[in-house]
Amino acid sequence: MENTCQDTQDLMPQLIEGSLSDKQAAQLQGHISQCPACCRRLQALRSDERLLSNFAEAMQPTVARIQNSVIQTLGGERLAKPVGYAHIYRTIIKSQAARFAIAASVIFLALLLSLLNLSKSGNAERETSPRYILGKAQQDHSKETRPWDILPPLPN
Amino acid sequence: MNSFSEEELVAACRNGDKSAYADLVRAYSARVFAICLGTLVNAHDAEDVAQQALFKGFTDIKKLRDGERFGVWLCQIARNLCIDFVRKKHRRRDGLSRPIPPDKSEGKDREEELEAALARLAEDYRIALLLYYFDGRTTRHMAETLGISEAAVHTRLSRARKKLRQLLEREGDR
Repeated sequence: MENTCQDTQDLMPQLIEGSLSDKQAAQLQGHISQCPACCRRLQALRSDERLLSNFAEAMQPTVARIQNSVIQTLGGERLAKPVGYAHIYRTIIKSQAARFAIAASVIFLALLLSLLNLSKSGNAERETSPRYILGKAQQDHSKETRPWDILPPLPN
Repeated sequence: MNSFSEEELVAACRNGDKSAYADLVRAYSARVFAICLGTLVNAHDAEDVAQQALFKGFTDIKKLRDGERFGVWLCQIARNLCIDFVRKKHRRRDGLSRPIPPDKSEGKDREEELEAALARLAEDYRIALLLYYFDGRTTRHMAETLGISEAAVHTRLSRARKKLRQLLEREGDR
C-alpha cells in the first residue's frame, strides 16, 4: 500500500518509539527517503525526542534529591544495605522454616532455663538442711591440718 | 531494587521496615515526580508535592490492600496531593493580584522553548510524555499508572508528540 504524507507523519511517533512492525517501518522509510517534507518532519521529531531526553536527564538531580530527602527523613538510610538486621528480619518473615526454627529454639531455651533453675533451687535446699551442715562440719574437722603434718620427716 | 518482590517490600513496610520503603522510594520517585511535574508544571512545587506523596505512601501503607498495586496507589496519592495543591494555590491567589509571568519571548534557547511548550500542552499529554521519558520508557508501567491500555498509551504518546511539535514550532516563531 502506498503511504501518503499524512499517513507517514501520523506513524512517525511510533517509528521513533520503535513500536512499528518491520514491514511498516520499511514502508515508512521508503516514503521518507523520497519525500523531503516528511524527511524534515522526521528530523524535527527526532530532535524533539533528544530534547525531551535531555530534559528528563537534567531533572535527575531533582529526583535524586527527592529520594535522599525522603529516605533520610524516614531514617531508612542506615538500614538501606542489603545485608543487615532488616535483611535478616525480612528473610525470617519470608521463610516459614526459619520461623519454626526460631520458635523451637525459644521453647528449648525456656525449658533449659527452667531446668537449671529447678536444679539450683534443689541444691540450695540441700545446703540449708541440718544433716548437710553437720556432715560438712565433720568433713572439715577431719581435714584439719595437724602441726606434725607440716614438720619435715625425722632422719632415720 | 533488590531481589525482593514489590509485594514483599510492601509487607515489610507494613511492619515498619523503613529500609524496605527506601527501596520502593528508589523505584518510584521518578514516576511520582513525573506525575507531579506533569500536573503542576512548576519543578519546585512538583518536588515538594512528590516528597509529600512519598511520605504519605509510608504513613498510609497499612491502608493499601493489594501490595502488587503499590505503584498505582502511590501515583494516585501524588495526583490527589497535586489537585489539593492547585486548589489551595488558587484560593490563595483569589485574594491577591495574580503574578505576571516573566516574558521569555526574547533570547529563548531550546530548553526554554520546550518548557514553555510543555506548559501549554494538555495535562494528559504532558503527563504521558514526562512519564515516558522519566520512568524508563516503558509503556506497560505507563498503562498501569494511567489506568489505560498499552495501545491507548501509544496513541496518547503519538498525539502528545504531534501536539508538542506544533507548540514548539509556534514557540520558535515567537
